[in-house]
Parts: sequence; C-alpha cells; structure tokens
Amino acid sequence: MLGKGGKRKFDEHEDGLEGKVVSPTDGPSKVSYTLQRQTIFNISLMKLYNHRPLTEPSLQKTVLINNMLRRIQEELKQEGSLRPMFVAASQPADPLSDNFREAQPAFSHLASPPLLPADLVSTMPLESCLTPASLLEDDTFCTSPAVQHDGPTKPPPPALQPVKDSFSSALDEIEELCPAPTSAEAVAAESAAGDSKAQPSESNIHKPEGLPESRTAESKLMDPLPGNFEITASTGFLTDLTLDDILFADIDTSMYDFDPCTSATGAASKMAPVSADELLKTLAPYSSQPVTPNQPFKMDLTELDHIMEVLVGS
Amino acid sequence: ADIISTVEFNYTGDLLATGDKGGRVVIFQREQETKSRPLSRGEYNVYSTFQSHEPEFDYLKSLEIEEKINKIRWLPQQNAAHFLLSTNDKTIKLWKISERDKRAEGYNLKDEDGRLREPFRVTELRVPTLKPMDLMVEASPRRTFANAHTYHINSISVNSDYATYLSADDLRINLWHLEVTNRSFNIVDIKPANMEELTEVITAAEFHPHHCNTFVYSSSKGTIRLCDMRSSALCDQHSKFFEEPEDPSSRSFFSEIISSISDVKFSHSGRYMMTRDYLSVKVWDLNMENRPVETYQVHEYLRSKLCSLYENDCIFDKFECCWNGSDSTIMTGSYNNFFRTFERSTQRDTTLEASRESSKPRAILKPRKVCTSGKRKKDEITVDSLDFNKKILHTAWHPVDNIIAVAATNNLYLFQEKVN
Repeated sequence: MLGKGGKRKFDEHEDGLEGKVVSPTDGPSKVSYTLQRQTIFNISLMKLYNHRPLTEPSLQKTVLINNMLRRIQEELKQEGSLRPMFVAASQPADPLSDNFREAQPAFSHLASPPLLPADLVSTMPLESCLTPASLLEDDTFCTSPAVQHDGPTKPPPPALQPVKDSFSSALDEIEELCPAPTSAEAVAAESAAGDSKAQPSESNIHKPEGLPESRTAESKLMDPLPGNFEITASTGFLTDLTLDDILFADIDTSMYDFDPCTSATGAASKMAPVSADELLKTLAPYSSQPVTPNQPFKMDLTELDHIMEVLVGS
Repeated sequence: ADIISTVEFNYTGDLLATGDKGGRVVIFQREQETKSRPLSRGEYNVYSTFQSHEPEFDYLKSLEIEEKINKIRWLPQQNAAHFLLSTNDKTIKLWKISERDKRAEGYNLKDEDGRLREPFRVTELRVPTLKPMDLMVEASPRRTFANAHTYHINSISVNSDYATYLSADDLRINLWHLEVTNRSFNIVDIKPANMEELTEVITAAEFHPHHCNTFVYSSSKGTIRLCDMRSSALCDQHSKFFEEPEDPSSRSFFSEIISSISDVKFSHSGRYMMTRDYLSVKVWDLNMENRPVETYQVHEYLRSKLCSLYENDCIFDKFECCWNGSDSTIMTGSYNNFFRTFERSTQRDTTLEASRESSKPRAILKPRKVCTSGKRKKDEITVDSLDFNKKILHTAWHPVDNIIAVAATNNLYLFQEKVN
C-alpha cells in the first residue's frame, strides 16, 4: 500500500504529491523506489529469519543484512516523521530512540535470543523472568550488559543460545497456556524502572484481557513453526522494528510467521505498557480488515469455525 | 571430489596445495623437466593427499564446526620437508610433508614385519642398513593452534620473519608463534562492547611481505587499515586508513554490500596492495590512502542485477585475487567459470573460461566476452545466460612462471603461458 496521496503524473510537477515527498526521486520513479525498498526489506527479513543452518551463520552476512535493514528503517523513520500521528501510539516520550536503545542485540547467535515483534498482543515480558541461565555468560558471548537495567529494559542475553531458546521458549509455551495474570504482573513489576513501571495498572488491567486471545493466537502461530524454537541464525534486529514498523503502514510484515515463543523481553517489555486494545485501535485504520479489540486475529475465528464444523459435522 | 575452497602455490611454485570442503588437502608437485623432453613444461601431478580437518561439534552452541579448509599458507622451505598451515573456521594446523624413500632393515629386536623377535633368537648384534624403497610422501600434523577464535577464521598469513603468523576472524586478529600452540596474542579487536552496535567485520588480513611489523586488514565496509605492531601491543589504532570516497551517482541499496572487501593481497614488491570487492579489483599505493591508483571492473554488467544477486545470496560470494610474480598482471574470478586477468601497464583485460569443453589439453584458451548491450555478437554470452552456480572464487598464480591454478567448484584447472 503506497498510498501517500501521490498522483502519478507524467510530468515532473510535484503538485500531485501532497507535500510528503521523502524519497530521493520524484514522480513515478518514487513509487518504484518504494517498491524496491520494500522488496529488499522483505528479502532481508526472510534471509535473517528463515535460515536454519547446522553451522553457525556467517557473521559478515548477518552484519550486512542488518545494516541494510537498519538503513531502510532509518529512511522509513524519516518518512514517518512527516506523519506524526502515527508515531505517538502509546509509547513513552521518544519512541524511536527508545526502540533503538532497547533493541535487542542483533547478533543473537552469539548472545541473546532473537526478538520477534510479530505477536501484537504479547504483552508478557517473559524472558526477564528467565535470567538465571542467561547470567552464565562468558566474555565471548557477552553482548549487552547483563542484568542491570538502567532505564530501558534490557534482558540479559543468555550464553547458551539455541539451547536457551528451546528452554525459554518451552517455558513461554507453558506460561502462555496457563493463564497467569499475576505472573505477568509480577514480571511487569520486575522489569526495570521506566516504561513498564510507569503504567503498571494499565498493563495489569489489559493483560488479562489480552492474555486469552494471545494464548490462542500464539498457540496457533506456534503450531506451524515448531522449528523456530532454535533460531540461531536469526537476529534480534526486528526488535528495533517492533511498534514502529507495525505502525508504518507501508511495511507489511504480517506475511512473516514470526515465532511468538521466542519473542523475548525487549519487545515484550517495550510493549508492556501498550495494551492489545490500543494497538489494535491504532492498527485498525491501516488494515484492510475490520479489526475489533475482542477479535484480534481472524485466525481465531477461522479456527473456531473449523472446530465448530468438526463438532457439528461429525 | 569435493568443492575446492582454497588454492596456494608454495614459495618456489613446485608445489600447489588445494583444500576442499571436506577438510582434505591435496598437494600437487611439478614434474621436473627431464633431459629427454627439455622443452616440455612441467606438469603437476598429485604428490600427497591427507585429511587436515575433521568436522567438529560445538556442544555449547549446538552447532557444527565445518571441516572446510578456508585457507592454506605455505612456510618457506628450510629443510627437506615442506610445511604448510591449513585452517578451518576455528583451528589452524601446521602440517609437515616429508618424503621417505629409504627403509631401515635388519633390526635386532624385531622382524621385518614388525613382530618382536624371540629373545633367545637374538644371537648376534647387527647394524640396521638403509635400503631404498618406493617414494612415500607422508603428511603429519606438527602443531594444532586451537581455541583462540570465537568467530570464523577468514585469513592466515605467515610473517616475513618466518617465525610468527597471524590469524584473523570476523572481529579479531591473533598473532602466533609457530612453535607455541598454547598462547596467542590478540593484536586487533573490533568487537564492540555492545554487540548491537556491530556494523563492520574483518574480512581479510595479511602481513606485509617484507616488513615484519606491518599488516593490513580489510573490512566489510570497504576500508583497509594498515597497522604497525611497533606502535602498540593492541593495534586497534591504525597507522593508515585506506578508503575510497563513495561515488554518489552510483549509490544504491547495495552500495555497502558490494563495497565489502573479500580479499586483500600485497604485491610481491610490497609497494602496492590489491583489494577485491564484489564488482571490481582495486590496486592501492601504500603511500596514498584516499583512493586506489587503479580500478578494474570485473563484471560491471552485474550492477543492474544486484537485487537478484542479493536474493540468491550471490552478492555475498567472496572472490579472491592474486598477483603474478612480477606484479604486472592481476587475476580474479567471476561467474560462469570465467576468470579475468588485467595487465596493469597496458590496461588490457582478458576473460577466459575454465571448463572442460573449452579446455582441451594444450589448446589455447579462447578469450570470452559477455555481451552487455542489446545486440549479441557471435560467441558472446548474454548476462542472463550466465551460470551463477559456476563461480571461480579461488585462483593462484605461480610465483615465478606464468602458470595459473583456477578452482572451478570441484575441478582444478592449470593453465600456462604458451611458449613458442
């Protein structure tokens, strides 16, 4: 969806564009530039997250792809800054820089688990509970500073990457299946000062509501992707992109099945103060399907339909 | 046969070593010209084959460590035996290759087949004698340099002092002494305190051919740093920084990726160095840091295909480059089993193909041409018909003669200049 209100005129006048020219080129080529950028963005994401090698992935390749994604994201942020109403959302004061600061390490195969923003309603910073194993870090695996948080929440990266992933994601799974608003609350309280503490009551209120839906949604998303528990090649890059990219309608990341079980604290803790409902309300104008707060995922509906069919049909 | 992953002549050019993806090293030896065929140039025949590295499993990360040989570097010969360093992603090994053409016979305590003799049968003392035997070439590992690299080793380089060598991985460079395996010194470390901030990695490193205190390393951002080990123990501060300013007119999404340097080689003279990035080869004068003195386009026609090449990962292919013995010509590989040579003084470039169909023994290679504009002439290849799976990443040039070794996937081709 490239609706920036630009009319594609054959001449080079910018009158057709409503004053939001942010790409380097004008007119029709601007559309193709955006298209190409989107394509490259998609390809880059797929490279990072669909690769499951037996051996350690090439750090050089990962770095280059990450840089590519960051550059595109920068561009989009600059473009997005011309549309302030999208940026506000429910983020604390400076969402953009916060996101960068709070971003998970991009090189998780060396350190922390990959962060995936896909689950919009995942408001549980589960990973911050799972610190014990992750404290066993060598210098060689050390990335971000460990448990001490100052300001933005940053989960300590576990040293044992793939093993930790499956362990932590298994725990996630278990936690998700058990309604645990209190644990979520406790976790929210545990995570360092800053955004999550700032709005604990709000998150408490909304989390139980968000939990049941997120549970089914996540279990739905989990099923087709069992292997994602051990993403080693993936990076935490996408945590940079969490809310911002969802809010920027240009980027359609919904086609990627991100494994919600490996979404670690960074994304989750950032989203802690944001309730599922608020997110969905923000998203509603941008998605083609009508989204109501109590039915966040169409998949739930189809699954329910399917179950009903099975029950009734038999 | 496995995919060849490295090719290297020794200092005299008599031996040519290849390493492959299966961890094997195959050494070829040039046949001596005999009196009966004085004009025949020496052919290379297999001299020794051995398994250098085995696959390992990193239990901590649950990942395999590939046995693929990333680099082989010869040591200068100091006695009858030959020594080379071979490395995979994590471990460097020093191998000794020696010949045995004599066998001792007449031991006192054991029979010819090795069985111990009965003590009461030993009635007299005799001196074992040496008898000739068929030539046997033995390779034995003499040193194993392990556990010094967290990331993947991409380069090794023997110092001109012939006593030390460096090994480089994505973020660090270590200095070793050939005799000491339990200790290595870190001389470059570009790992950031916060790995999130990592945007650049080391891609290649090499010692200066004459100055044992000087080495260079290249990065994924297209920069080369020259370091002097005399200035400090940790050479994080470079002495010289080589970078060509970006051409704004050719900027694209892929500018950074195609600027990533895949190989850096000093000239034999030590005055120049050559870098290979995705589309070009650049020759730098060590005295001029702001731009290269020569730039050669290897396959500029790929510039419009970068998006597809990014998609199929070809854009990350690491091509190597090499100088000839006199530094007058440089060579590098391309796709479709093409490789390119550039004569520096005449600016003449040639594209040749390494394939069975075009390489009949003793036949002269026909220059190839890739058609870049619309109309394809006879014998030209269009860009779209190039086979991107047939890539020539590894080439080597004989240190003295005009003999080149070209690795095309799992085949090794040896070409030499025709002498009239």
